Amino acid sequence: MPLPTSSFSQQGPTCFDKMKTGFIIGFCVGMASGAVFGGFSALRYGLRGRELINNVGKTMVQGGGTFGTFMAIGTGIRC
Amino acid sequence: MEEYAREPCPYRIVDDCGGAFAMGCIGGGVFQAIKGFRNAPSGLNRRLVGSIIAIKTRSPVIAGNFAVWGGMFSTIDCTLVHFRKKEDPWNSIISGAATGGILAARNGVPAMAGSAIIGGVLLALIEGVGILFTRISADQFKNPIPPAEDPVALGDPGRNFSFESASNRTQYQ
Repeated sequence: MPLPTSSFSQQGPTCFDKMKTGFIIGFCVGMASGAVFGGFSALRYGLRGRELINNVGKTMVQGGGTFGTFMAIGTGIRC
Repeated sequence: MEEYAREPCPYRIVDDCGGAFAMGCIGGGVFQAIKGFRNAPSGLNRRLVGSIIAIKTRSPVIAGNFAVWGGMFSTIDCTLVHFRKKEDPWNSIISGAATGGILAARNGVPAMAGSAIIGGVLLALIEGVGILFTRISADQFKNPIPPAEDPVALGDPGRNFSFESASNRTQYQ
């Protein structure tokens, strides 16, 4: 997956800027996957209402953090 | 502006396998450092030793898992590119599902199906977010319409000419 550049400058983005963009994309993917898989497992356990929202939200942030970290590291390796 | 582009197809397998191993090694090292630090007995020295031991013990396992996944994914991706003669997000999604299914083969068919679904959904999310970010980046490059090309600002040349003709007529009289 080619990584889109977030700025249009002649020098191009620095390595750190690319890693930040990678982290943001990874965080979004992790949040989305956390919502899908966390929501699925929470509904299987029969959670409803506030408990469901809290549990899925926690799973989303965890997934976002983990996936974002790995994506930032992957972007840094290829930089 | 240099942008990372993936290698052509036979070399992509080796490149992605190595990249996945490095990513798993470093990322696994980061997370195992935190986990080892927290699980060690109290005392800063012993916590640091626990952190290092956890990195040495589990980081290679995580890196190996990443490398296997990356290598299998790229192999299937290149196979699909060869047979379908095109590169699009569907290649990644099918490769993700197939990789998830194949690597769970030892656990039986229901586990294979579950892992294949998880792999496909995950790759679909990755492609979706990637496409979304590409679109957002493209919108930032859109220039506003320059005012010189706006027809309203130019005025009507016919009326200007007519006005000058009337002025000339007055001078002659």
